[in-house]
Amino acid sequence: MSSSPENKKKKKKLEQQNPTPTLPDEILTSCIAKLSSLYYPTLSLVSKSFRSLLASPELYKARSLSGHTESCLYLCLESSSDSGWFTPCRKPDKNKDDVSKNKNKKSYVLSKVKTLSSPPAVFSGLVSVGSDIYNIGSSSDVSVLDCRSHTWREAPSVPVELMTLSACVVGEKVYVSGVHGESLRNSCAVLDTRTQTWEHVSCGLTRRGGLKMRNRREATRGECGRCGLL
Amino acid sequence: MENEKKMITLKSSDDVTFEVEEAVVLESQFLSHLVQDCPAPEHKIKEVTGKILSKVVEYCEKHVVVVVDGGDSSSSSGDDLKKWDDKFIKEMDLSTVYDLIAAANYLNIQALLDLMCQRVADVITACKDHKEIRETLGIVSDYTAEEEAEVLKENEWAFD
Repeated sequence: MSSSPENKKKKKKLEQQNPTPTLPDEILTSCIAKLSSLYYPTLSLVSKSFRSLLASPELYKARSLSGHTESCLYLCLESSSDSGWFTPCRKPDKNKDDVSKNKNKKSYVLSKVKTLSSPPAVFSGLVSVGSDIYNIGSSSDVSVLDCRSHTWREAPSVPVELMTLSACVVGEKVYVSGVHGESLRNSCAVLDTRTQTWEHVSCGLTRRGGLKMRNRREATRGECGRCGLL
Repeated sequence: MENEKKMITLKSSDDVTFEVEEAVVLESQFLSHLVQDCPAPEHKIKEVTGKILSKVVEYCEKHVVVVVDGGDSSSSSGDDLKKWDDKFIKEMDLSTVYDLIAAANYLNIQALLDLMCQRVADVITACKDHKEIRETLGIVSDYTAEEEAEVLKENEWAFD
């Protein structure tokens, strides 16, 4: 509303009064570690150094050191060509005068997770372990979305080719069950996420056993979309 | 027994002196090493001004008293301490906060450093948008207009 030269003047004055005492990155990291990740999209607009700090492993180290972990909702939307991932973020307040009102009324929106092309996702093959979301694809390929840096990485593929695959997490292990492609028998495998190694489990599941596994999967399903940031 | 309390004098960069009990000094890891290694009655802290050192001393004195008195009724004194902390940081302007961060970092007082970082975090959350964060924290954006538009575009869902 005010004319731009005036604005510039004001800004200059402000800078002179306040000779920009900057915080060292390490301290700034500790400050940001105390904020909810809902603020990250807004923070990423502040400056380049803020943006790179938000993606730095140091930030997540600081978060876990200070015991500040939070559950985050991740939503995956599939289209024929691509799968898009979304996570909520806090909407910046636009109305300057409404500070008090807005404090009570926080608005959140889903922001698109900026990653290089996401692999197609099969919902029964999505599980979360800590701050990672495992996407076990129908071709037995395993991709992992690191929710701290929002990058995909590859994990070892499932050692057996499974059809109608479904996955669940128990502790830090990912259990995958399905029908073996050749023998058409029930089969399952376990990924130890710590060692990143698969173990073939010759479970020889009867139908009943398979159902049990399925029930267990359903039980953990509620957590699948959530992900704890470390 | 009470006269056994050992007193130590701290002197700021601008020669303001503070006489404090040894227990207060021990809140700072840096100072507790200094006191152990060099048992002089007076210590000059060249990196911290009198204004800031008075705040540091105020904080440490409060925290020592509560920890010592705490014992059994720790939960209520914990609440009191929290209230005191809140009040302590509330009226502080940002440049004092920055100076205290530097002092707490130098003197290695983790709890004070945490408290001050929390204050900066609170300041950030109180801002309406990224422009206000820049203004408040005195950050000059190094984005070019195009780059900023690009980042804005990435988050267009969030920012309309």
